[in-house]
Amino acid sequence: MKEIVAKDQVDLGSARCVQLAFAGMVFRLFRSLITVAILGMAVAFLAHMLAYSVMSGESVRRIWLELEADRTLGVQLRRLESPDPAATILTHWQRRDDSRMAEHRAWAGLNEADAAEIQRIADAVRVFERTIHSFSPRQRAILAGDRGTLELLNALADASTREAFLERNRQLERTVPLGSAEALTRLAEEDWPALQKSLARVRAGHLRATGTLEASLSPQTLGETLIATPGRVEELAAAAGFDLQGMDFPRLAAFAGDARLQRRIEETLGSMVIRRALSRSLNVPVADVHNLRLLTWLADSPGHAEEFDALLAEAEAFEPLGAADVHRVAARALHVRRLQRLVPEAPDLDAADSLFGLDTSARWLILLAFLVCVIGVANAMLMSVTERFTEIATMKCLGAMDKFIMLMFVFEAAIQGLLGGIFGAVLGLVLAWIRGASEFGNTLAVAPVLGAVLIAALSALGIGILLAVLAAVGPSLVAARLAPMEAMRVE
Amino acid sequence: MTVPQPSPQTDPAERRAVIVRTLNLEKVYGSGDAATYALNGVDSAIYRGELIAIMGPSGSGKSTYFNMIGALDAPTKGRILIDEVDVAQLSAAELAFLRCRKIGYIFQSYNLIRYMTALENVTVPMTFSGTSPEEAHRRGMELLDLVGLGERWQHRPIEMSGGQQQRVAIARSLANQPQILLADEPTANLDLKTGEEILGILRRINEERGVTVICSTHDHRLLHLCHRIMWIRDGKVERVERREDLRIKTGKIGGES
Ligand SMILES: Nc1ncnc2c1ncn2[C@@H]1O[C@H](COP(=O)(O)OP(=O)(O)O)[C@@H](O)[C@H]1O
Ligand SMILES: [Mg+2]
Repeated sequence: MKEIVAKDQVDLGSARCVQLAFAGMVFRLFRSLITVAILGMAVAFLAHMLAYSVMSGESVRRIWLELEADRTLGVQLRRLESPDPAATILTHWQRRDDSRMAEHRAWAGLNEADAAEIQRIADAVRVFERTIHSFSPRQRAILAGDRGTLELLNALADASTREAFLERNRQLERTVPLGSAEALTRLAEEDWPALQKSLARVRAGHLRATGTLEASLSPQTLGETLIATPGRVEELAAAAGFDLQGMDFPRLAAFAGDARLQRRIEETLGSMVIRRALSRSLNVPVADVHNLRLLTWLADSPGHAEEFDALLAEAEAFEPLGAADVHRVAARALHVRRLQRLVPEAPDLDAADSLFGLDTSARWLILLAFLVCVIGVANAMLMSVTERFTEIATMKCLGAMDKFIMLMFVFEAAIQGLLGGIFGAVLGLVLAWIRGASEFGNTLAVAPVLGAVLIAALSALGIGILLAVLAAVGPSLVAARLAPMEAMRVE
Repeated sequence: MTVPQPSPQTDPAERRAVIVRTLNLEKVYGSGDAATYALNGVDSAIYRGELIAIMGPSGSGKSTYFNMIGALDAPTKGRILIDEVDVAQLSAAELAFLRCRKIGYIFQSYNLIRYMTALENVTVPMTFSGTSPEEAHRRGMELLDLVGLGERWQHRPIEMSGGQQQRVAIARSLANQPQILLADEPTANLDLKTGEEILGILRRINEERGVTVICSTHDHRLLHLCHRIMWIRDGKVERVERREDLRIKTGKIGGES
């Protein structure tokens, strides 16, 4: 017998594969478009979730910081007028607020050793608080009743209460705060009472300082002096033993001024004459003339503020407040109200770092959407393969290798993934923007997170292609393994 | 039993080279009680350059025989030698090479690719053989001219009649200058006149290009165009005749021309 003169079939590049896949897709345009649409929807969903999460997270962060700035000014003002509660003083130590701690040491006459002792116990209390907070609300209710964490610590000074607490803690199989019953006993019986004494000493020192400041300003009040001559208050506060680091007195004065103006605007509603006049201007019953309505009306247009000021000028008991300022303060008050409604609590600023800040339920939802999408696309691809049995088998008769057929279908899916992905990513971004804008209005942060938003869109696009290819693997294998003799079959 | 040899009485020109040989070929579909012996010990030899008709009633195993000698499916038993190479020994890539260059396939239902033009259909096998696009275009046009469809190279299958589609399929089967053409009932879906045209083209290809043409058909007009006839019945070769013998014996069949 002759020696075998068989040669291997040449391997083709992928360009021809893509070309054939594309031609096949165009031929089945309608069906392909449905697949593209399915993929597009899934990608749009993901892109929208990611982009919205990024934008809203950043918006919330910025709003919170803006509100924090206002809150800080309030805290600084209050600190000059009245002493901090013990719990607040404790927080300053736990957070190692150097400026406050220096003040505390001066007020209470603490030496290095005293300060180190306070620091040690404050940290232990923090560990105790953290442990209690790590329990579920139900467990916390069982262990602490309706006591706050520090109240619980007070109660644990009593041996029998402590025994009961430890017993329930054992039953719930939770960790003992501070690691051991001995450490807990020491904190509750010795350290915490000692710390409370130190805190009381600091508070007394703070009280003295506010008293000194008040006396040196007398007969004027702090607020009035601050608004008129912020520099004087700064000097006197420093003299009274306040640490003024981080305090901007002109800003503090402006803040106090705005707060006073807002108070005065609100006070006008106490007068029936003004209420009646406003009821006509606002076109609502007298009973409905309230704070928020007035502020909204004033913020609405400078003309309204002028009308209001004219009203005050006519009324006997009032003086005009300055239309421009009234308008500005009302607008600012409404803005802050809106921000407070948008971000009522401190956001978890760390959450934004993990996977575009998506929470668990959002992740499950995305996973589910993708599962549905993969199944849908796999089904469509399988149909595409099944109805092309003869075509595939014919190609194999004409010399196509399994790999080529496989690639052809994988490329078909990849092209569909790319098209659906581009369409979906754009749609998702638009949806996220619309949703964000309707929720956050002009406080929606887009520009600062544009990079992350684009990365979100691109990852959604990439995942779309990946999903399409993943869904195509099975059907493509079916196609690649088809016997060439199927071409001979006649229906 | 001795090693099976092609029946000695078939061709006096015994010296002609055998291009396809099957030895004790068996193909069983299913198993146990449901087993169907589509082929049941087929010994055959097809000579280089001949036009052979495979005749037999429906279900006799013609298509199965074509699948075997076209290297499209593996036999249950027996051997297939194409150009003296045992098909069973070939790797997947070598099989693809064989199907691409050595054999041209013509199907009953044409099997053109629906989204391709006539020319694109003809050049598909050239793509698989790695021919450059320019060369493929040139040769594709030549082949379309050969089957009389040079003008219609841009038409898609739905724009063509069955006869035209089958002519495109013939052009496609010649794409890589195969030595063997396998045509399984190429005229079954066509009317008489168009069928005759197709058979005429096959005959011309056989004569002008020396391609071995193996054609199964119910069309008795093929009988006077072919060199030999292989009769298959119930998965066995019933007899193999030369056309001359056929004329003498059953003059009526071929005598209409
Ligand atoms: N894929 C298959 N599975 C089971 N039986 C088959 C298959 N292909 C063909 N057969 C059977 O094998 C026999 C021969 O079929 P076939 O080769 O198609 O005959 P022909 O082409 O001469 O009409 C028939 O009985 C048919 O039913
Ligand atoms: Mg058949």
